[in-house]
Amino acid sequence: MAENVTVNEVNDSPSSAPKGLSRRQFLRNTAVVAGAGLLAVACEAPQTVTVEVPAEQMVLRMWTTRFFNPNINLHLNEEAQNAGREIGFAVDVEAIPGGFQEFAAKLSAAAEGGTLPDIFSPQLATQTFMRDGRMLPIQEVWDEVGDGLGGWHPTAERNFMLEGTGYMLDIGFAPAFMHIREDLVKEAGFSLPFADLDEMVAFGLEYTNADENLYGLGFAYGVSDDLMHLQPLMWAFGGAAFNEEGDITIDSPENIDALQWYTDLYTVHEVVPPAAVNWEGGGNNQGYLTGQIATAVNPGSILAAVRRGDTPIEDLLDKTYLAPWPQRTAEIGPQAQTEAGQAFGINKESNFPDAAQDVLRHLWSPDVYIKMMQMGQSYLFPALMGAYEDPYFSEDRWNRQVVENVVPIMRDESWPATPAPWTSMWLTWAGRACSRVILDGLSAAEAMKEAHDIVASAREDFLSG
Amino acid sequence: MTPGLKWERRLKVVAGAIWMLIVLTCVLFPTYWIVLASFKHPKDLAVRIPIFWTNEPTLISYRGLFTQPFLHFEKLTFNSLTIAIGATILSVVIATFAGLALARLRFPGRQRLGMAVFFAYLVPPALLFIPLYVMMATVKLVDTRFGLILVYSSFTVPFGVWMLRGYFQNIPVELEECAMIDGCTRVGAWVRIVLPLASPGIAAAAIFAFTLAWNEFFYAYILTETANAQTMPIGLASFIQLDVYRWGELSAGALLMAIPAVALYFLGQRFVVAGLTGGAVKG
Amino acid sequence: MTQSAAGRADSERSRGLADSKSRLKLSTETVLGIALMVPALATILGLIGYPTLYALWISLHTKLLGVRDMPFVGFDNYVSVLSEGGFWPALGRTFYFTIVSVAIKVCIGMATALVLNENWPGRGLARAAVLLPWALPPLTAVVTWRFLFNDTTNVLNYILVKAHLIEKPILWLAKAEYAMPSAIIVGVWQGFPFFAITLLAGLSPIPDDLYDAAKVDGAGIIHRFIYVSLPGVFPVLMVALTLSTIWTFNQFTVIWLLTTGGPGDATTTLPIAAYMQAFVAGSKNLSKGAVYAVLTFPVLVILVLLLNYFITSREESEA
Repeated sequence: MAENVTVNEVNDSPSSAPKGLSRRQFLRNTAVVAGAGLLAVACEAPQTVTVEVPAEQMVLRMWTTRFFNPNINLHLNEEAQNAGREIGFAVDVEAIPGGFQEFAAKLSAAAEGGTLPDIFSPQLATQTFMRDGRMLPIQEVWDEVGDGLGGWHPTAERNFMLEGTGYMLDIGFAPAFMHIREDLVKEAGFSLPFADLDEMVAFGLEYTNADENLYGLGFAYGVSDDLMHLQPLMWAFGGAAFNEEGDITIDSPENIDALQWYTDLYTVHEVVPPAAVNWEGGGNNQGYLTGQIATAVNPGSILAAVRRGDTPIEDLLDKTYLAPWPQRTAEIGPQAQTEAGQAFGINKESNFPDAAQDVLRHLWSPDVYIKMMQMGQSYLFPALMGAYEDPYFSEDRWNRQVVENVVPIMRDESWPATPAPWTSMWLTWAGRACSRVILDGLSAAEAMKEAHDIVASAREDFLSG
Repeated sequence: MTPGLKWERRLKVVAGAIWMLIVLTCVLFPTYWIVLASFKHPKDLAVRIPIFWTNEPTLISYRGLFTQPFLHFEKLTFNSLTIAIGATILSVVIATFAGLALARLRFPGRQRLGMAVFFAYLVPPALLFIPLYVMMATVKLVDTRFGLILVYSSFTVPFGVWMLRGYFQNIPVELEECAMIDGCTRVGAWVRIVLPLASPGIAAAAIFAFTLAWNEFFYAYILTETANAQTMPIGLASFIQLDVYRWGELSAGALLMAIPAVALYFLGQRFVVAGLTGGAVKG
Repeated sequence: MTQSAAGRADSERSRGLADSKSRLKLSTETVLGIALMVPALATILGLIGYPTLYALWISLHTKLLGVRDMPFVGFDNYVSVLSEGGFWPALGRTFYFTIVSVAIKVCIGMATALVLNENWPGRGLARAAVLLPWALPPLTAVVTWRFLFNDTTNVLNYILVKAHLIEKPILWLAKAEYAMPSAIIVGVWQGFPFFAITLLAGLSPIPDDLYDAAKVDGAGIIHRFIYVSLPGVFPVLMVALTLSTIWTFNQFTVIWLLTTGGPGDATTTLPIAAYMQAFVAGSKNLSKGAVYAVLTFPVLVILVLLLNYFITSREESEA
């Protein structure tokens, strides 16, 4: 009540004031506004709980990221509330906006201040948080959830179990797949899927028309690479960032070849938009939606926008074909990369560990989980194998392309090493290696050596600490 | 008038007109673009050939602001106003006290304190946020409007003190002395004589404090969790969803957010100038 | 510090008053002065002083994001930051960004103020329009400019190509040599109105007689600017210059939202570098982030002191 009155006063006084306002009037108005504000502060400051529950009710706090599709958040929120109701808790779900980097800043502040919520996803710091004893081991829940829906995907086991114990429940994978304009590829005289990387480049050369700002290949080279591009290519060339023992092998000859091949697309063949070296995260999304580029590698957000019709190109959905990176040689085959990081665990210092586990059980129960995957609009693919039998994945044309061709071969950035805090740090440096070659004229070998040394020194930091 | 001067005069007019035309184009075009973007249909935003006009203005983006789940844009607006006004009052009161003390009273350490206040303004904000968060968490002020008001005061108080000290120094001491001879106490003279004369400076300090708190993003992001205390810039950030940029909603929200700040500057610009120049120059 | 000239003159008088009073009731004045300073001091010590010490303390340890242990390492972090090669280029870019931005802001601001100081119809409207970029929230401004610079939507390039000002589209944010100028463009766009409006306020009280007298003496338009306008606005110019230098030096929002320091490191200034070290790069090393921030402070202090020294010596030489 008082709140509304204040808002009106505050809104009206400065903007509706007559033009030639005298100093006295201005000051008087300012004083009115100020007084109203003071009143509002005095009335409002002490109330900090928004959830409409009896004051005595216990509250569980949960942080999720704000997904590009708000329906995922709505669903998570609603089901978390349902879960809480059964056990007499209010669940306060906050959808935190911002990118991974901003979230990292927020997470570290909350960790220092001791205000981490009961349930959250540490994202980039997942390995660190598990190893530093910040997450509660939840093996029982892990097993129950796995048994309920056909078992966990091996990638989930690799990333969210530590020494045989489950710590976090994977909400699903965001595999990066290549969106290809089937119509343009056919017009240029090629067929899909591309037989190998060379054929893809041949299409790129054929289609690219720089004067018209049209490019055959729409790959990213800066910070927005997020490992979706260089990493699968390193695998396709027979390399990897780490070996099975966990040693850093970023500067191996195979990886250097992969970087050389990849940056040649930009510097020699000129089949990617020049701006790709400093695209923000959304650069390739926008390129594909506007028709500037004929291929783009990304998790499902592009596809979701295509489905939504946020594009001037008619029937773009029907013109879109989804595939993994083409193979380089038949022995190694096509390669795919998953975006990691969306797994939820329980704060070890939570006052209500049992209740938090109940909430997780509910959110990962078959019906709730499958509905969450559907809400994901091809951004999320199940971490639980049983969910793939749902018609949403087995019947939709585009989801099937991903399920059949991408999901079986996808890996995380640490592969084949066991994930460790420094293996996920590699994420920042792949894109940087690309831009070092393109912008600073480093050789591929020098750029990979630099990335190698940086990841090695990050490992040093962790091992010495 | 000599022919030379006439020629010079014409040149001046032409050059001035051309210059103003360039400046105004540069100023107004981006502004026009964001207004236009907020009224366009989303499919007209992601296009390769820019569209400079729309025949079918739509309110989709504005509606999107208020219907986005979890966003509570109207609550964020209220929070932004409360926090900006609260921080303004708090810092103006504190800065007026300190400004008066530094400009009008003689006590040991006065010069050094004045310097210290100014240098406090130079501390890079990037240095402070983790310690500030820990402090706020300790006193349970995370995710409260009051917490943000306090934190914003850490930027606005040093600036306000510096500005008001200069302003008070420029108000002739004789006026105050006369009042005291007439029987006023020192504080009475301040309240009756000095403060009213300093009102443009105080208004300027208030405008600076308000806009800083109104626009601030990073501390608000770190220090808030819920619609309890989140501000409008945080709401806007939620339209950059990982790699998806909702240009329409971003433009609409950014535009709505700009209104109070722009209005305040238009109404108060002469105080800003007067305040910054210590009253030496009236705006 | 950097008060206007008039301010300094008056402070002499106020000291005189204070002297006469101090003989009578020194203790009351001290008590009152300190009492009035307490809220400001509490704010500054509590919300700036203590966090600064805390950050200094972190900079002497190794503090990684999410890791509880923080071993003491002395000045190791300082040594490695200063020797790693990221710091000095970032310092150079910060100076480049600050000096070029402020210089352009002063020039454009001055020219605009001179035109606005003349009498012409529509002057009031123009003056209001010029203020617009400064009043817009930085978030709004950067979102708009990113839209204009973007290579896909291509607005700015489209216009410039159509107007035959450029032949080929410019990669505003993707080419290392253009990214910093682009950041400067946005910074200048937001910042020049501050100079235009303050300088206009400094110009308008200069009486016409002075210009007329100069004209009679045969001074041309340039001489009149140098000998009449410039001395008139000098105090105002210096205050605006100092503030703008501080704001530009610490600029984070515009650069971060526009380029996140890229492409490569092309726009990584010190505030960006501090943030990257703490939350983006390698091991998410909060300690190294703190080192960057700690090292930024003395640089800015020296810069402001130099500026202040320049102002003071200039004023003295004129007096």
